[in-house]
Amino acid sequence: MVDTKPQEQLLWGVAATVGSGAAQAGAPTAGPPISAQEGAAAVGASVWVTNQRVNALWTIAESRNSWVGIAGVGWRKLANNSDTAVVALTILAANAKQTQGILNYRQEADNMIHEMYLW
Amino acid sequence: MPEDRLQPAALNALLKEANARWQAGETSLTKLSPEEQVLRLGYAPGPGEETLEQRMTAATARLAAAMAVAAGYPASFDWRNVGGKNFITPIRDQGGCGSCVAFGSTATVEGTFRVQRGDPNLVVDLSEAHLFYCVAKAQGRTCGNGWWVAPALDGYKGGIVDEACFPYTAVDQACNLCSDWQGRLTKITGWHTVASPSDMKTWLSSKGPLATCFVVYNDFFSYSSGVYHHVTGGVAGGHCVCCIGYDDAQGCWICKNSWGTGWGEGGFFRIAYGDCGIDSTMWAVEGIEETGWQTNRRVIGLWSIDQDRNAWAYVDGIGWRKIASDSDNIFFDLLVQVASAKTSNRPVNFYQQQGVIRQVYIL
Repeated sequence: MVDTKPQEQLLWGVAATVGSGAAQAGAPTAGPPISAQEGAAAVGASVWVTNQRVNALWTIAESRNSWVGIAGVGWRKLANNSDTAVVALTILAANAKQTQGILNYRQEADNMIHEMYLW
Repeated sequence: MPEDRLQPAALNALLKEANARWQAGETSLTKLSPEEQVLRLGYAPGPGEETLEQRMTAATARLAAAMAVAAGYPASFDWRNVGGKNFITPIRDQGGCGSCVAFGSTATVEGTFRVQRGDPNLVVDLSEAHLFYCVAKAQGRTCGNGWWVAPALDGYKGGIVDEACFPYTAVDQACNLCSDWQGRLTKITGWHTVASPSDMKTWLSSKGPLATCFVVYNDFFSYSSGVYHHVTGGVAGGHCVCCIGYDDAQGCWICKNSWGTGWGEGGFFRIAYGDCGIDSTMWAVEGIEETGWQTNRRVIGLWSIDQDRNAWAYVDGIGWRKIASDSDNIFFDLLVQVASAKTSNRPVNFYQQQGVIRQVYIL
């Protein structure tokens, strides 16, 4: 069964440009942002997308199906490999939407967001 | 031996003749008798550890590796100036007691604490007296016979109080801790040895200072500036210090000594790669175990990943702290409240146990 997706036309924003990031499993490694630089950089199959804003959220009564609307990027699904992980990522996404804080996220080849820094 | 007690002018003549990269001068150590000088040392390699001779041999053998330029770390690094910030605590003076291991270890823990917090102004002054006159003393160590680094860092795993709880004086004495010492302990999460120069530089440039030990020759007491390397004089003994940086262009390590500011470069010195066993092995402090309440803090960042119950909060002035993950309920209750604190930008009081947030008040 294929999960339902949010409709792309319900999201709008500005285009992203290129920057960099770093990934490590188990613990955060990056400090607070020193300067705001939008971007995306690939590390193998991973892509870090930096300095983004969340302008929409979407979810539905389906298991582990939570999406984030990124300004200028579009809808991105949150990793769905774990109940607690998808809820934790959703909490951060909701916080990002409310505060309009800087979001740096790691997107994998499955196009889902697997890691987030929120400032 | 006469050459061991050369006056600075005569020693400088020898240094010039040898094309040495350092200068001699009158220091706080040159005024002392040879017996008093030896008491300013105090490193006695422990059972199973490299002897002083083995340290020198190993360091010499790794000289080419130390000099090699490699990726993964900058060409120079100094914790006294990281973007204009100084993470190194002030120079101390061990006086006439062979307690250098306590000073070198404590300087490493203090520096690591400041780096972990990302706060060069963090007030941290830990008790060398507790480490030496309680922990070392219980192992039969005295001002006269010295110590080695592994048991000193093990002492930090058990916890060491702050300086005010047991101030240091340079004489063998009873373990005399303050009445509330049990609530004033600073503990480290662990330590390990670092054996290769490239790993030393990688650690120094990213994690914090390192403890290290080396062979002191008599000309070292007269060091006033430059990049030290042994030129003349016999072996005085073993000594431990804190390595705070390096410089590939100069081919040297930068170290913090415990002989007061009247010696060396304001109490610091530079020493050539591979010399005197300085880089045979160094000791890394893995982290400071922080347990207790933190008050009036701000949550400025959040992090999460595709792993079960794994989220962290970045607390201003402290750094990343993990959200307790004992159960789903505990994890989400804490995460939601911490996220709320960030959203509202309100101050929080939180209790951490070994660096894990376990209780939160949002004010």
